[in-house]
Amino acid sequence: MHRSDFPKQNRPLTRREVIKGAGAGLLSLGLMGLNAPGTARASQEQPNIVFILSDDHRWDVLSHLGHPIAETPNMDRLAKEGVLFENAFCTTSLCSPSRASFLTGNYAHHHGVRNNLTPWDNTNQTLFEPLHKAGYETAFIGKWHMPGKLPQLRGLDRFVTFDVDGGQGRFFNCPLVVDGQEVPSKKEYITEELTDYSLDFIRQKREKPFCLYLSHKAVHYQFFPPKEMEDLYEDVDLHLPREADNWVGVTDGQFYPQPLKKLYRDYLACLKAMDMQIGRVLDELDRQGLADNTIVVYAGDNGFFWGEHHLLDKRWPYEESIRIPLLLRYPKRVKQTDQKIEQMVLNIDLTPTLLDLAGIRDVPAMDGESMAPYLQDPDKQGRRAWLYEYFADYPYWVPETMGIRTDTHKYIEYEGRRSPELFNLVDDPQEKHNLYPGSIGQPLLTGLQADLNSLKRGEHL
Amino acid sequence: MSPIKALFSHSNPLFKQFIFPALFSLGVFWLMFWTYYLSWNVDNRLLHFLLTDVVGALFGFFLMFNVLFVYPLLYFKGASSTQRMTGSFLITLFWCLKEFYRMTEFYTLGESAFFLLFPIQANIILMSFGFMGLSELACRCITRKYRKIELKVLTPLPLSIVIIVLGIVIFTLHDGGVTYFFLYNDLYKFFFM
Repeated sequence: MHRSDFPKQNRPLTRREVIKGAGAGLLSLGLMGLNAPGTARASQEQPNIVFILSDDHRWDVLSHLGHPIAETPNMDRLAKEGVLFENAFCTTSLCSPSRASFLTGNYAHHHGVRNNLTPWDNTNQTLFEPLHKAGYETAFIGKWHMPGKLPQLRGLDRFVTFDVDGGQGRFFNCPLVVDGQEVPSKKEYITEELTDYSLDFIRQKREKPFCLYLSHKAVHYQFFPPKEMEDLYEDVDLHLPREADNWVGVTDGQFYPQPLKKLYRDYLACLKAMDMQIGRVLDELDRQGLADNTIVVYAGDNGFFWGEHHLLDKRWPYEESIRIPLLLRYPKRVKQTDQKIEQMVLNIDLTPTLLDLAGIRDVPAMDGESMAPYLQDPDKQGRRAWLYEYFADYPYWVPETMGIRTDTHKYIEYEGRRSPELFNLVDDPQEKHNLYPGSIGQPLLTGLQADLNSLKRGEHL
Repeated sequence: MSPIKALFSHSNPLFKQFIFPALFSLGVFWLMFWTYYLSWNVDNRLLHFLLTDVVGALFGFFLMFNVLFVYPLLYFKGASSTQRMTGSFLITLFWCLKEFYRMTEFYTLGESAFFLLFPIQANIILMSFGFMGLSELACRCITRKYRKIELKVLTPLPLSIVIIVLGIVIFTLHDGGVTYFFLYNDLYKFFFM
């Protein structure tokens, strides 16, 4: 398994992509007859879009899912008024690649941001470009955090971000870059400040629909909550897994030089603070009378270990790390609210989904697929398997990884001295019993390896 | 007597003043290291807590501060200055080699070596030297006070090592270590990308 296993951007198109492209082409030809040539036109009533992305928010740390401590009433509200994708995953469990995948609809081996060191390529097309062509006013507010200089994003009207501390930003008094100009922070806490900018954008008087991409720094390490919430979970039982101990954060390649329990308490407080700010956005949409015609999506960029597998952090291809929270509210299209959708969906599906819901069809081929059909028909057949990839990110001790995840199994190949792993996710959801290369796993192996190779070639399963 | 037997003989002053204290300290560290890692497999909740949280804390503490114990031990056993420095660097050396080997699993030898400048490793190495200097000053002070031997306490070499190391450690820890971390990242990109 090497980087060269992957086709480049100019790879031969798969049959599925050809059909997709032809369909999109025919549709756009039809639309061009009605509209100005060269522009992507949306359907009659264009919805507004609010996408909220958090950092390292693990999928199950939601009160809606019965987490014993987390307090996330506003995310719960989104789930109740919309849908929760209970099998949502990131294709690379690392901030920069996952963020680029959300924006482009493509795997890391396509968009090129393979780890936190490889720079963003300005030739990448993001969701902003077709949205802007279709008449949207667009804003990216928050954490960009991709290597290299700040990007030149086509189709973006407003760009509020930060570049201090390697793009990680700071929880307190973080200087911002607003449309290319450095400005000091107005609010002490970054999550509140980014929300203020977002509310300003939502409040603007406009004729056009808008797309707001709000990308929080929270709830990333150093997990600093606002000062008034520092001791919020001081005395609660944290319900950490049996294998967790206080020092996993400072063992082999995990660099969090604080006790696990302290970090987890801060994480939960930081999450609550972010949830409160999400509530402000939802309230503002209500106040403006925009809620019914606004798609609101909330997602995390990757998961997080809290001691499971003796790990802290993400990167590894186990469930705690690759699952993400994904909530979608869109009253006009969600057939049944407060529903859990079972199909496996991915971070690369966001851009195709939003463009689909906005009625924009003539877009280039992407690795991701629209999730919109599941909103109408929760029983619709979903993907059978998908590719997980991770490219070594110095100095973290996680090998380059390629894996396939199906509804029932996961097969992983590692670079280096490590043997592959095969897990039966139905019988062993905590992935504690590696079936490779034992007699139980052997019959499955041929099929999974063949499917993994198909996924590496860019085929959809 | 064979040379090896002679080396490890109790009557050999080298064994008493250098080999035994240095290897004993390394043995204690080795024991803590494996106790912590193997305890992950212990199911009993209380035992698991004792072996991981308690031994883990001791293991981390000993990794960071072992020189403060090993160096005086060697000093008062009569080890020479070279022996004191070598013996009290043994645990740090063991740790660095272990980390280096770990990184070679999928990084180049150069990248693996560069990892020793990563904040945690760099501070372990730096603090080893700093604690050597500090221990030398403390041991001299104790010798002068309790053994009534006329000895200059503040000698230039240990004092300058303490001051230099303190300065570098303050720099690496400045801003919660963030500044040094990103400097380290930039250096990595400069050398290896």
